[in-house]
This record gives sequence, structure tokens and C-alpha cells, in this order.
Amino acid sequence: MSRIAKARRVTTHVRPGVTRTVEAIVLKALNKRREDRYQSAGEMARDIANYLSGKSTLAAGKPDRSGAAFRWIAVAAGLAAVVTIGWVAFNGASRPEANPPLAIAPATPIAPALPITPAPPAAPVAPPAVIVEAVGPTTTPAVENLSSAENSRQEIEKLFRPEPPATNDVPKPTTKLTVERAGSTLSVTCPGGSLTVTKLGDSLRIRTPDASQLVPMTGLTDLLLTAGAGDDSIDIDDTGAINVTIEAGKGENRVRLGASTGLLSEMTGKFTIEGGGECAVELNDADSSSADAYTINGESITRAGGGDVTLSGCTGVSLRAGRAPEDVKLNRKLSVFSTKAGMTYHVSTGGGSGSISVGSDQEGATLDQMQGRIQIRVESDFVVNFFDRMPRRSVSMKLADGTFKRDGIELAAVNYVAPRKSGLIQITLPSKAPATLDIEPSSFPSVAVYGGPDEGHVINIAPRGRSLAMPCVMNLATGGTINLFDDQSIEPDVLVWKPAFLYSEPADVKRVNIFSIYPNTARFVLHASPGSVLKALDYKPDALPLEVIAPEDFTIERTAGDPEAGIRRVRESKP
Amino acid sequence: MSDENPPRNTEPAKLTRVFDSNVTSTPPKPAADLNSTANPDSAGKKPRAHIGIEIAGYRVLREISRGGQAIVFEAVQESTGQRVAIKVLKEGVFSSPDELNRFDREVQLLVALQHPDIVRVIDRGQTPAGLRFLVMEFIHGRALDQHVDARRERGDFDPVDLLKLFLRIAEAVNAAHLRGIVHRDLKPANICVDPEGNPHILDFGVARGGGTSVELGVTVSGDFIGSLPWASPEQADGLSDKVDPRSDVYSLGVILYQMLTGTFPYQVVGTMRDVLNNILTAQPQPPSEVLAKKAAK
Repeated sequence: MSRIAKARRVTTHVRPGVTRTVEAIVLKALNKRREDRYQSAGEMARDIANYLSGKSTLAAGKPDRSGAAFRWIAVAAGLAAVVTIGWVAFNGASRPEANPPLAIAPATPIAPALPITPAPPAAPVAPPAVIVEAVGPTTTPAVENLSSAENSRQEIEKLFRPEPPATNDVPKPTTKLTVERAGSTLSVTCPGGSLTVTKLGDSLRIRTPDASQLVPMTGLTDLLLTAGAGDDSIDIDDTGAINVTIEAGKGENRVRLGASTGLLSEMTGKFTIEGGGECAVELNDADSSSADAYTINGESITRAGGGDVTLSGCTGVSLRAGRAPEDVKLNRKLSVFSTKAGMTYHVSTGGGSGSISVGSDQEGATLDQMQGRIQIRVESDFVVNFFDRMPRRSVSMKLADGTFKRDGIELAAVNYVAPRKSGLIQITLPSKAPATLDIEPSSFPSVAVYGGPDEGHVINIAPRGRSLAMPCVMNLATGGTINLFDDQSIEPDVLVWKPAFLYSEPADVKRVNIFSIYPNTARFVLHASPGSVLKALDYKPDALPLEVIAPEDFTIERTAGDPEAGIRRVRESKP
Repeated sequence: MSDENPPRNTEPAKLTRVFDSNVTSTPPKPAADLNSTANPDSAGKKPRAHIGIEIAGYRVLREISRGGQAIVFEAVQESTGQRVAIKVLKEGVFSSPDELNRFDREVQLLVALQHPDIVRVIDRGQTPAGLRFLVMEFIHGRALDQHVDARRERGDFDPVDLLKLFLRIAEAVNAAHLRGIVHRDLKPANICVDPEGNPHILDFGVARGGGTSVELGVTVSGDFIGSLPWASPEQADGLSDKVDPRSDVYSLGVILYQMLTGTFPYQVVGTMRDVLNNILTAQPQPPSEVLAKKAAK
């Protein structure tokens, strides 16, 4: 009740004029039809930011130049002259045509009790550095006590993230933060090595554990961050379209882009990261609405949605894209085209759908340029592709227990952490060359192999003492020889054979479907185990023949016709 | 490989809405008052036995607010000494395992969501009695509408500043949207502004059942309660499956309208039927007209 009364009282006060643009922004948000509103809060925020910086808006087009608008600006400018602590940064933003302010007033909205070294008087030409200095530990470290479910999740996170943020560290005794602006470039030096950059409104907040600085973004195009000499931890939450160069120290460094907010797709500037020592870079894109594409090419990462990321002297990359609910449909493409020796690449899907590709689907591309370690984590319904399209070469590949190996080199580990097992692994074999592929898919829900009709490939499914009774669906779009090994006795060991379609019973518990789209050129050989039963259904004399290498007590049951027709039984012991 | 949904107890029932925010549903206190509470125990006048809740790892100080679906306590995390707010969901707020799963999923997203302008979720768990609870950052400050009113009374009222404050709110909401979290209940009471002027958005996505997301109801006298004035047409229409980020955009529009004009875009006081009808059909009065009328008085 008291709030209602308050709301009514407010109505009796007249507020300063609302400009046409602001009115249009409000009314656009209030459209009855969802389609006519801003499609996201971000779109609305951008329009307001555009209005504040004098740019054209979605709601009203070109910026209005009514008297009211100028009155607002005059008020804002007047305020800025008086206020020294607080949102001084906004002053510059409301006057896009004006030069950026020369002196940056110290503003510490986070820790107002800290002693602040005030800025020297503004020099007309060279802007002075502003140093925010703090002595002694001041802030309470953020501690996250998480429940056991969260802990187990974090265990997985730890495996994935090279260097989890140390939240319990004792703050360093003294941290100097120097922020210096020269024209459109902002230079930040932080010998303490722990730095967070976040966009707040139209300002950048630059923060160390015990100092904080707000800098207006108006007119800013470049940000140069120089960290300490030791183990640096640099978090960039959001920097809009600003180009960022990071020089890390000589220790074990950790750089995170889109660190806690996951706004990587909104950070459209270029990133250059130079690791002086070991440097792990994390790219965190939690956008569940955009369809972004990332291509990893050794030390550079191309982003379809914005500026590239260049890494040098770094030892690891962790690209985590999406944190959408599982059922969100995306078309996000993450590609690992080439990798550099000595580096580890973690690629992860946070949610939604899309694809991760290792290698290129271009004819002639091979997996040979994969030198470093690749770790792929599938958290949702993503397709993982392995491409090797080099003609006239013979390779040996193996897909087993979360790893994919080629000619003895481990290319990737694929881990599923999705609560509901989903996702698909696709392997493209070299064309016009024989390849051997062993598949022991204990954890893959679905595997597809592409190879063409006449390549002479040999695909071994469930070799090495495994059973065909695996929870897996296999689609084989290839010719050659397909060996099906079922030499481990599991009760009930019943295999059902329809032409070009084989699965184990009971189908709802353990099931492997094997299906080839080239039944005329593929040769299926079943290596059966003793005492097992093969049920041949829907028999057609011209259908794909099945060769069975089986012991004496192997039984074939037929629904119709000659029990042995179309099945060539080879009486010999298993290999 | 890992199971992200460990088995949980489920309490069937229906959740329609969470209580008001922990900051605004108590009589507003000056921030200094809360900050000066050197001994945390002195904050709660009631003996601890009356609080009636024990949560391992936390010292519960006092009850902040009590709503239809949850009770919020102020507490101290014993390991760190930091002040927290603990929201304990009442028994049976989840009508189905699906809703419970959704709650768990949203909490996981929220724990990951570390936006400076969104109240942080620190922990979660179950009380010995099996009640779900969430531990959040404790924010000193007051509701957005009170903040705006107070500034206006001080004469510190500048539309550009207001737009900038609103911009940060919209960006924070967007950060959640990008993770697939829709707030569904944005209103000034759920946006807390601290003494430094930073906004903090409360009650993000959690503790709300799968069905109706806005409490619909009127008092006998016809005044509104709950979140109805900020509800989007699709929410007012009960089309919960149509609620998406654009519903939050609508609520943001109402909030911005209020900030600029001090009034609602249409009549929101009256019978529930009238209010729902206004949300669904009434065209908002242009803010400039509202202001011109007021100026003429």
C-alpha cells in the first residue's frame, strides 16, 4: 500500500521534457505485438546508448535536435563540472562531438573508502596519467561455496579450464593501476597483474582487487593492457568495439575474454594477446541468440561476428561457446582448422546446437596440420566432424573411449557432459585412398562415417573383444569392408539382421544400429560369438549378403525362405 | 560422464510467484543504518530460536521478508563473514519434477552469471527439512522507484542520468537473455540501487514455476498488488509459452516510462479485469502528452 501511495505522489511532480527520440524508444518497447518491440534488452540498450551519444536510433531514426535534447546535454555538462566523484564519465558520452575529457576524474564506485591519488591538473595537450593506488587488503574476496552438485560440475570445469580463477587469494599488498589516455588509445598498466575490464553503461570500468577506475568510452578505439611480471590474471568482460592488446607477464598467465558475462559476441574489436610466459586464453561466448562462427587457425582465431583474436606465446586456448538451454536451435560453427605444436585447444559447446569441425571439409585438406592437443567437450546436441579429405594416402584412424586418433597421433578427446546424451560424431575418410577406421564407441550416442562407395576402406566396429550391444547408432555411408565384431558373450546375445540394418536385442536397452547407404559396394562381415543367435528378418534374395565368421554353435533363425540364403557362413574360429 | 541432475526430493504444488524483493518489502531503511550494524547479531531483535531455520555454514540473523512462496533471511556466511541473503522456498512450490529440474538448471545458469549489476547467487542447497534455498549477495540499497523519488526530492534529477541508469539495467537484463534466462518479473521493486548508484537486479528467473509467472490479484479496495502493472500483454493473457526476452523488454518499457513520467502508460488501478484489458489493448499515452498535461496544471 505504501508503494502505491508513493507512486501516486510521484505523478504530481512534473519532470523535464522527454525528447521525441526517448518517447519513440519507450513506445517501441511498449508495443502490444512482440514482433514490433525491441527483440532483446540488448537492442533496447543499444538504442538508448545511441541516443545518448547522438547517433541514430532504431526507434526514431536520425538523432533529434530539439531544444529539449540540448537542454539535457546542457544539464549533464553542468553537472559534470561540479561532480568529481561518480558518473563523471557520462559527461563525455552525452557530447559525442566533443573531444574526450582530458583529465579523468578518479571515480571509485566500488570501493569509495580507498585513498585516491587525485589527478594532477589537466594539461592542455598531453593527458596526465591517473593513478589509483591502494594500500593493504581492503576488499573481501568473493568466495563461492557451492553445493555438491555444483562441486562435481566444477570438477569438470577444472578439467576443462586450464586455470580456474583463484578467488581465495590473499590480495597483493600494493597494486598500482595506471590509466593513461592519449587520443583514442587508452593505456592501462597494472604491475599487480590482476585486472578486470567491464563495460558499464558507456564507460569502461578497470578494476584491480583494490582499486577501480571508470573511463568514458567515447572516442576510444584502442585499449593497451600491460600486466605484471608474474602470474597475471586478466578478465575482459565487455569492451564493445574497442581493439584490445594485452601484454602479459612472464609467469603463468590467464586471459579471459567475455570472462564472467560471456558477452564475447558483442565484443567486436580485435584482440591481440602476447603471452610473455605460459598464457592460457579463454574465449567465453554465452550468447544463446546469435549464430557465431569461430575458426581456430594455429595462433589466430577468426570470428565471424567481429574482430579476430591473435595469440602469440600462448600455450592454450579454451573456446567455450554458448550457454543456452539444450533445446535452443543455433547454427554455431566452431572449426579447428590447424593447430600448433605445444598448444592445447579446448573447444566446448555450452548449449544449443551447431557443429564443431576438426580439419576442413575442403577437398585436399588433411588432418596433418593438427599438431597440438585438442580437447572437445560436447555439452549439448552438437555435431562433431573430423575431416580428412586428402586423396591418395592411406591412414589409420581410431575412435575409442572419448578419443580420436589418426596414425597414432591423438587428435581430440570428446567428452559428453550433456545430461541427456545427444550429439553426433561424423568422420569423413580420405577420398580415393584406403583408410582403416576402428570404432569402439563406448560413449558416443551416434556415429556417422562418410567415405564414398569404392574406396576400399576397412571399418572395424567394436573390435578387440567388445560387444556389438552398445548404445549407439551408426550410419555408414561408405563402401569397402565393414567388420562387425561380436566376440564377447553377453546375455541375451541376439542380433537382428535386416538387409543393411543390424541391431542387437533387446533393442531398448543396448542397441547398435548399423546402416549403410552403399549396400551394393559394402561387404558386411559378422564375427559372431559362440552361442549367439542371428535373426534374419525381411529376407529378400537380392539384398545385401552377410558373411558370418562363426563357431559351430552359432544359430541363424529365418522368418521365411532358406535359412542360409544370402548369408555365407564361414566356419572358422574367430580371429 | 557426469550427471548434472542428481536425484532430488520433489515437493508437488504450484508456484505462481516469488515474494517481493528482500530489500523493498521491508520498510526502507537508510543504507547507513544497515552498514553500521557492526555486530551482526544486533540486527535481529528476535531470539534465534524464533527464526526457526538452521542452514549449515550460515548464521541466520533475521527474517527480512516473507512472501507467498518464500521467506528471505539475512545471514552471515560463517566461512567468510560476508553478509548474505538466503531465500528459502516454501514447501511445495514445485508442482512437478520438471519444474524442479528447470529451477535447478536456472540456478546453475545463475551461478555462472556473474554480472556486476545482477545480484550474485552464491550457493544453494536444501535445509534439513528438505526445503530448497538460495544464497545471494546481500545488497544495501533501495528500490529503483524509491531511488528515483529520493533523487527528485533532492533536486538531483536529470533525465540523462536516468537514461544512463536505465541503460545499465537493460544491459544487465541482456546479459541474462544471452544465456537464455528471462526474468519474467521485472519491476522497480526487483531493481535495487546501492548508495553509489549502481543497479542490482534481483530475483532473476529463479523460484518461479513453469506456469503463471506473474502474480495476478487485486486488493479489495481495487489497488494493485504484485507485478501486474509491469506485465506484458502475453503475460496478462496467460500465454506463458509466449513469454520470452521480449516480455522483459515490455516490462523495461513500463519501468522507463515510469522513470521519465512518474506514472504508468495506462490505468493500472481498478478491477483486475480492467487492468488486464488495459494491458492487452490500451495504447500508452505518449510521455510528452503526460508531461504537457502536468505542466499545464
